[in-house]
Amino acid sequence: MNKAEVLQKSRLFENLLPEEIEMLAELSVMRRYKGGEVVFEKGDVGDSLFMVVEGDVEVLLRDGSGEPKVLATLGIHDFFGEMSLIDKEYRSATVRAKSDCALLLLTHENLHAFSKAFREGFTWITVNIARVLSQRLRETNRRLAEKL
Amino acid sequence: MKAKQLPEVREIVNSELFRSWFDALTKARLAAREASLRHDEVLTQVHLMEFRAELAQKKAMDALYRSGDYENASAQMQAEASELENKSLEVVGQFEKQRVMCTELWVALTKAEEQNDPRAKRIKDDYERETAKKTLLWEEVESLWAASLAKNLAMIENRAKGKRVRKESEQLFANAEQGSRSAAALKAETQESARALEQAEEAVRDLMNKGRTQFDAVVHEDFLYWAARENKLVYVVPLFSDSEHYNIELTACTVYQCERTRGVEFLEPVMEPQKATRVDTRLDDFFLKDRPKVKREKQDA
Repeated sequence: MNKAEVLQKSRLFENLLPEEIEMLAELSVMRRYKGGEVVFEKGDVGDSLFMVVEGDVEVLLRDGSGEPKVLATLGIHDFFGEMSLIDKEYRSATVRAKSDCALLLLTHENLHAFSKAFREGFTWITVNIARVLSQRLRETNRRLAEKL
Repeated sequence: MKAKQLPEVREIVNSELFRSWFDALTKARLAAREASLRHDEVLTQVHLMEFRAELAQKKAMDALYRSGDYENASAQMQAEASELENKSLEVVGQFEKQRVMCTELWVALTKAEEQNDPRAKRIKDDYERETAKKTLLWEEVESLWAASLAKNLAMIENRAKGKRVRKESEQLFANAEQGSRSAAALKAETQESARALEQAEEAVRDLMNKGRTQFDAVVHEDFLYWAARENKLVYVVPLFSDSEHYNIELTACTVYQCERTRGVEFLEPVMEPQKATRVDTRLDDFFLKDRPKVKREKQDA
């Protein structure tokens, strides 16, 4: 599997130059998970972001009764784990592989190495993260408004 | 070691000399690994055989003690059975006397009843009392015979078991002996496999030393290092591929870079210097172009 091709298709890396994508491909690490395996738990230290390359993952939170509730299902080209990377807080939810899946992982240290080599490219990644977070916030606002 | 520029390092890594050295090193490492596995296997076999021999020896000793226990128990039971037999003969003697006495009383009773002798009642009482004693004596005889029979049968069983266990013990001693001989024979093979392993490791060390001098690099075990002349970084070339244990996926014989203080703890891909002439307008384009010109009408207004 060509990691650069995978990265190019993610919204997280829109507008990045080929050489930037190439370096990110070298800095990213492929990890495979079995269906049902936990990628990370709510409360874990968040030091990496993930991109889905194959399969699906579920984002889970426990409801009032303690039962895990699926907040979202993410598939190919989706990414997650970016919030902890930005706000340096612990993981806000649990992510579990819904099926056997392959994820590309970028640690904060590897992203830092990228930022030293490609300032503009790194800025684009943060802009892209902000765009996605902004979009999610708008969606949350819209849902909230519907409930009020 | 002299500090080198990236093109110099790339030239070394791409050279025929480096390739042939790396191929030889890969083969030598593979041979060392195989020698190590072979040595481990032989050692495992030796330990296994020694352990089996020890276990057989221990079981043989246990069996020997157990056969002795059975033989002792058998002798004890034989003595007890004889004692019961003697006791039963003694009681049979008493029974015989009692039987004669009862017969005499029966004759006297018959005679007294025929003659309407007033002593007939007393004789009858005597006869009944003595007959009861005779019955008790016979019951005791039968009980002693039964006990004697049980002891005798158990004694024979113990004796047979003692013989069987003794034979087992002899077989186990023989197995232990055979196991010890096999382990000793295999031990000679471990010395050979240890020598082969040492030679294979020596070949790897030789090649690493050769690499150190031929390529003017720092060589430890798995990486070659050159101080970078352009900056304070270090160029690193792994001698293996690994996708799991480092911060990035490593490919053998690829040039990476790292900081002097962190070493291979944090590796980075080496990037070609960016062309300074290129003007990057991506952020300008994003922030300054394609923005809505007219305000959307407020819904709540």
